[in-house]
Amino acid sequence: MLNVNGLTVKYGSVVALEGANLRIDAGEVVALLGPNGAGKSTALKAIAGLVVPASGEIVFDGRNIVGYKTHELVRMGLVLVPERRHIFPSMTVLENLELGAYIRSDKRSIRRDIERVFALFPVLREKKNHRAGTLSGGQQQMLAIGRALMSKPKMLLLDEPSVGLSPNYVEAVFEKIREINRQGTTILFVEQNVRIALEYSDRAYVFGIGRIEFEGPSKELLKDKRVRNIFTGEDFTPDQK
Amino acid sequence: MLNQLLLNGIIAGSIYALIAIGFTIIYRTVRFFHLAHGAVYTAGAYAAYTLIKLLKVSPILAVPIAVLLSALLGVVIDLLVYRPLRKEGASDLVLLLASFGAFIFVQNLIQLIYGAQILTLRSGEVKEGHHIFGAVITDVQILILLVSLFLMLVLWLFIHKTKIGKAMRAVADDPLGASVVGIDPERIIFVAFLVGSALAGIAGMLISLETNIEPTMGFTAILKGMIAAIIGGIGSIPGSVFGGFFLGLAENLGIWKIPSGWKDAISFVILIIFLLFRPSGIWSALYDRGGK
Repeated sequence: MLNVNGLTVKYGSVVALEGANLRIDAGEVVALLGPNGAGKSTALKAIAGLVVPASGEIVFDGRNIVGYKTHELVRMGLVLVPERRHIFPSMTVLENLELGAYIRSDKRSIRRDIERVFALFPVLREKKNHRAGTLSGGQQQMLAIGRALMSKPKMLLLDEPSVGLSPNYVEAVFEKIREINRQGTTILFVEQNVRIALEYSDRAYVFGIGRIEFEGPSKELLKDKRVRNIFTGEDFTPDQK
Repeated sequence: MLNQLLLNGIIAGSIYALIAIGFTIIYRTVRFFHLAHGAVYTAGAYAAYTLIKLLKVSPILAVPIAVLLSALLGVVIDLLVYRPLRKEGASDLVLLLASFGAFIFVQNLIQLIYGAQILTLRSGEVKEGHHIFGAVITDVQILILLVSLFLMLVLWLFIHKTKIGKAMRAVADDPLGASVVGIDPERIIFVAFLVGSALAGIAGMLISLETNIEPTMGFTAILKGMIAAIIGGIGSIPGSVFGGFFLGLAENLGIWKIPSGWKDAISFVILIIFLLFRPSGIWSALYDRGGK
């Protein structure tokens, strides 16, 4: 579904990512892992059209999407849930979800999909007339994901979905991401929390500084010494589970 | 006397509010002070003058044409001046300076065509106004008040009930959030300049029914509009309405005790007080508690 070949991104003269190759098949959940500044978020931003790559190609659904703007990619079915959520704080939860369906005009099926989002995140139904800015961090993350689903994406990109969430919310959010995947949406996410990322993905790419070091099935990476060497300690404690 | 000053304040305030709303709608999407908004206001008045006085077009036809011309002027300023700068990633300061340049350019263009002298759109003898509560209100003032209030209502419905209006609020709330739901920011900026500039043009036309017009009239107008927008809380549409009426009332009640030559000074004193003690404006305290 998504093929990234030789992706290089520069910020000014600084190379943030060099020659990255990624392949995500339809139906997969793929994680991008790596320390801060490794370029994994940069890769996601390039795919989502937020930064323009210096070179390389990004093929989504058979089309090279380099140079497309973020809002154009939404219409092609490639939707980003940005880091720190970026919901519309002064608008109600319901208005946020309605705006998620901005590219659609089929009112009846939009209603139906709002109900589906409420079924997935019951807390959003309870808060549907509250201003989104009054929600807790975890609730806002659920709203951001729900809003993204409203555009009926083929592939969902999630940038650091666990940032700013309390630990019990992190697991809850990733359970929902799994569920969304089971319902047919391909998922690519960037995540700092290595244990969580590997538990909730099929495959993962591990970034060093500015490049991809290696990749593999998440189950194998959980036991891989190289993963442990890259992430010293605090995030990565596979023996707990 | 007090009632008359209150009435004058409300009428002046409705004009300030119209300018401030247009200014704010544009500010919310582009995030810089579009000073040339004042020149669009002037152009609205001159467009009406040209059509009605020089070309003898009937006012029923002339008014919508003048509104359309004002709206287009705003869009053209954006397309020719701001958009190329946006593409280059220009800073807000550069855009602010560019907007000042555009303001001067349009103002001087008007002066070149029409001359610097005072013109008037008014015609016929001055009719005596109606007496209410010990104050006098003229037909023109009633018209100004009704048109302003009607436009505020229409605008409220537009941004709350229509899809494009909701998208404009989304861009104002969070531009990145708007992109990831598929909203094209350039399209929203276009609509904001169209709607905001139409409001400025209407405000310019309304004031030209009440006072004379001259090429430099937009300068005071944009200053008052900006002060109103800041008093209300920059970026808030209800705040701009509130700020406009607050400013109009403060100026007119102020001259009850202070010589009227100080009217403009009153607004600047208010601006300075707000910038020092409440830079986020009044409206944020009254209403936006749940916002960002």
